[in-house]
Amino acid sequence: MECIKVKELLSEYIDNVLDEQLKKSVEEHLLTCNSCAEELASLKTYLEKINSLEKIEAPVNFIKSLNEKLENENPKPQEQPNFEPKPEFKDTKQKVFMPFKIKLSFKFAGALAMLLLVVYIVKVIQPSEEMTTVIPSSQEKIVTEKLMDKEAKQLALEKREEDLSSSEIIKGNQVPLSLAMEKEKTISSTVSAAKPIELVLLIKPDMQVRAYSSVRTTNLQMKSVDLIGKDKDVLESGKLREAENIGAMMDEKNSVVISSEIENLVRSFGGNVLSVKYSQTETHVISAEIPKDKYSNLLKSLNELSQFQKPSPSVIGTEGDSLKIRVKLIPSK
Amino acid sequence: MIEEINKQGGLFGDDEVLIKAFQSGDKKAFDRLLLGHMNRVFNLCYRFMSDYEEANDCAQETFIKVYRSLNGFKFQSSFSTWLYRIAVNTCKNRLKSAEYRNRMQTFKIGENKELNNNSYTGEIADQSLSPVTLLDKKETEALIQSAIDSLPEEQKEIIVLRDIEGFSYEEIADITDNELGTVKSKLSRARGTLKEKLKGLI
Repeated sequence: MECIKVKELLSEYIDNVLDEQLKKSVEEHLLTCNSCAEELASLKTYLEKINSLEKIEAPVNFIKSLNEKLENENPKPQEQPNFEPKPEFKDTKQKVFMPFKIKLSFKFAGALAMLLLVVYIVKVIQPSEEMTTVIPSSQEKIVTEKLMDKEAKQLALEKREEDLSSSEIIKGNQVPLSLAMEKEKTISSTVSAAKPIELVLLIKPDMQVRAYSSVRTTNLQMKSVDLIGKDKDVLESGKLREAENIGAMMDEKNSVVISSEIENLVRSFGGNVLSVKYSQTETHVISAEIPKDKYSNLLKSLNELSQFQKPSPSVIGTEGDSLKIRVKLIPSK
Repeated sequence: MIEEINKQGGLFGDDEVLIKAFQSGDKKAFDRLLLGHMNRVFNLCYRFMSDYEEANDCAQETFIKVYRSLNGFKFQSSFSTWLYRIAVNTCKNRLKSAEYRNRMQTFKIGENKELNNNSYTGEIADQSLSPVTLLDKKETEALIQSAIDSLPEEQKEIIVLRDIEGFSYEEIADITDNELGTVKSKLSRARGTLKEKLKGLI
């Protein structure tokens, strides 16, 4: 083995990492080569010197100083180790959707939305459905008893018809009950075929309305105190239907007077008031039937009387020569 | 020849046990881990930086990095190898930093080499050294340190790891991310260079 090669291997030889064959070759060469032997000796001296270097120790306050740095930098070791990128998206989402840092889970938000939807359906949609049925009242029962006394045959009539006839009595019209009931019966079958046009009028609490009938208003006011549903029917023709009045928050006086005004208007246009329903709950509902060609005139008159809830009615669509309408009177907000 | 150092654990317990304890939430386990490696890391940094304050900064930075990353340590390599790789890289980055270069330049323009208690700085201005007998131990050490400091970074790295810290060839290969053969040849050349620089002492 040449000296150059041996001198290259001396570093490994002195660290005892050469394989046995190379080690033996180096040792054989060293026995015969003074230059390489000297090189080995100087390498040993070098290692002795460098191994004699003092081991420099960390300052006494090394750990304390390190802990202070760690605390000052406020590291979060539980989140750092995986070197995950900072969730920028999460921060942005927090700023955009939750500016006030209200921690609201999406599940809870969804449940809340569902609850609001249910409340909306119950409070806004349900009342209109309720208006299609007549709420029985104690007074209606009394009237029913009167009916039973007068004509036993009418007992077979539907409860709804009884309601209508009773409300007519309350209103004070002098139409024979038996006739009224018979007419109502025929109307019920025809009315159900065509859907009435819904008109919604807003009533302001301080609305100035013309006094239509002080006597009637007073009567109705008295009735509205304790009733749930009182009926006023005009049983003049066979097309009469039913009436509802559901008014709680609005000015009862105004709504009653306006409903009377509307009844008058309907009649003046050659139509028939089918029913007027009201109660203390929420809304007056006047059902009526008018000739088709008078519909636009009626709208104008109603608009003068009060204000339509937007959008204002404009479309006409029904069967036959006459239109069926339903006017709701609701208090304006 | 060079005493092998126990790499399985520091002085205060098995590294793996301490690391797992830390990963389980026992933050005090880090201090025990630190105690086991602190001085060795510090010495390595000192031999690399040739300055006590610089060594302190590098050692602290090394352990801060370790603390932040320890929860993600998967034991795919030995902790010791991982720790000293961080330490070496921290020192190398520090040597390259503008802040360090400015500081060293300012120091060299100023007063002559100063030998403080633990701060041996300066360079070997003249390769023709005085007789060994005239030098006391501290001066000898200062000269050796200066010679190490004057080595190219690559050679300095391997001399510190092998001849000062006593890592095995395999460990050095892991720490420096080199092949084993490369480590052998680099070490041989580095030793030759350093021996030449210290020929007055040897």
